[in-house]
Amino acid sequence: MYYAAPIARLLEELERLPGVGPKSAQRIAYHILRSEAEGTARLAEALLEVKRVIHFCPRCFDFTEGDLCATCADPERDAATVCVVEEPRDVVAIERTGGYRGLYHVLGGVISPVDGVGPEQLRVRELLDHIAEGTVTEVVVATNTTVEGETTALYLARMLKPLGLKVTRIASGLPVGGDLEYADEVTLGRALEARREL
Amino acid sequence: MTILVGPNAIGKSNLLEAVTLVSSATSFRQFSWPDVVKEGEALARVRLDAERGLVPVRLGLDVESSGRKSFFVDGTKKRKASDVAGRVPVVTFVPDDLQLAKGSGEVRRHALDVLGSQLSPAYGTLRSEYGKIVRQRTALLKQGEARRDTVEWDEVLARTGASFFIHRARLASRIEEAIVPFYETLSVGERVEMRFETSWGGETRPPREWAAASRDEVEWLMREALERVSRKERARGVTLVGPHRDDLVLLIEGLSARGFASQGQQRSLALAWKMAEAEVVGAVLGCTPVLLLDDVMSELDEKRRAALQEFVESGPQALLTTTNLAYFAPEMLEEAEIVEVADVR
Repeated sequence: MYYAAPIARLLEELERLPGVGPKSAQRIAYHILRSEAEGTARLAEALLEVKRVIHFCPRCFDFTEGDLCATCADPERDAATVCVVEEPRDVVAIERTGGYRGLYHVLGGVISPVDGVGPEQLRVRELLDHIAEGTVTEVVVATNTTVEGETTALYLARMLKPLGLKVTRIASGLPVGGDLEYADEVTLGRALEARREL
Repeated sequence: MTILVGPNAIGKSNLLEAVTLVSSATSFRQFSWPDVVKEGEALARVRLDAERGLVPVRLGLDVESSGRKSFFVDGTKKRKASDVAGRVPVVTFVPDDLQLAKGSGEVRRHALDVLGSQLSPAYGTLRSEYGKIVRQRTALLKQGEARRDTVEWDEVLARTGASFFIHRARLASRIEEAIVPFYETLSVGERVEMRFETSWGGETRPPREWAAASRDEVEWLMREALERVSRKERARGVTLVGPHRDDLVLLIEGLSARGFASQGQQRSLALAWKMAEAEVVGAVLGCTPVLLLDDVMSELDEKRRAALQEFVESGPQALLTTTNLAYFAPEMLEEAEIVEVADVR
């Protein structure tokens, strides 16, 4: 046993965090031990507060502290368009572009039978409930371009198209500034398939 | 040419394996990433300094005991194996390759796919995406409820499967083109041909014809086949149709090598296949591959040994292992750097 028991307990908890291995855990723990008590109290309070205050927006299932999240509560947003994403962090990514004015729906994952995740484990039912209210005319499927994200997009299209909605998929392919010569065939093929009129 | 000599089970092959792991993220042995790390150690690390043309290339691989791996090219971290494969092309020849003629379809699929992944990142991406689709779809079939709906997985399997198959067919047709003259020389006049026997119908056609087929046609055939076997797949919980079940059949003078090849023909075929690989790598990447030969001299008779020797001398560099230098011709030993290997494990 190299560590005093309380330090060992802290290390154990830190190592559970994503991206934190034994070395990073040790660095963080020693940093905390060296820093002043107020700083640590603020960190602890911040951790407790997010867990106390933040919950899912009942409409889009993004994280929020209010009854509705800021996007869903904003009357300026276009309620006819819903963008479906995998995780709350994807909402942040799309918001950052500043180019989207509609609403969101967070699925909470993608279909992945290997992990035991089917449509029932995702918030598909809730999406259909939202659509049943009648204001939505277009659903933009913005799941990732992985095998699982693609399959989930196909599933959503099959569920939603019969409802008379416009279902679109974000174009995937060349990153902005991507050099055509170095883009591999798969990406290039997808970019070509998803081409749009200018 | 470097010859590593030493008794069995001393780690000679491990050295060659380290080169294949860092250069193409694959091995000629059955392996899983956690196994690469020595028992009780946290990390396995391989660094490889090479020169391609006159340009230095530095490759790196770190594997953690959990199996997590990172690749490095000239010091920059790379996430995907396909970012590394092909930078320093290698062709391996190991005793297991003698199964190329008589082994199951998997042996030939694996040989093609390892080569293809080195030659094109698109091939590598399609291969890994396709593998993921099969695992996902099979997991769904195993859930066993008869009404389990696989519509989307059928769709992506046919789509990705068709692209993957055509890439594979293009590669096989290049190998076929290259293998014919090599085999003819080794066998003194015999003719070798290839045919794809697919799991999804369509006729048994030579690779060059499938290579020219349209993706839509192949996709359609795969979809139809999936529909036909749907009941059987559900009952058995296996994905029965797709490139992972295809076979590339080798024919010698019109007869199946798998059924009829003699010991000598098997050896000639394996050797000719490897020569063909090296030629295709040279043609596609514009750079002759490094040859890694693990204890194959002992498997060959004098005539084929001479042919292998010529092949080795034609390349820019070769690493060979052996338990016994007597397998090598004296002229070859004169030119080679001979390294006696003590226990390196």
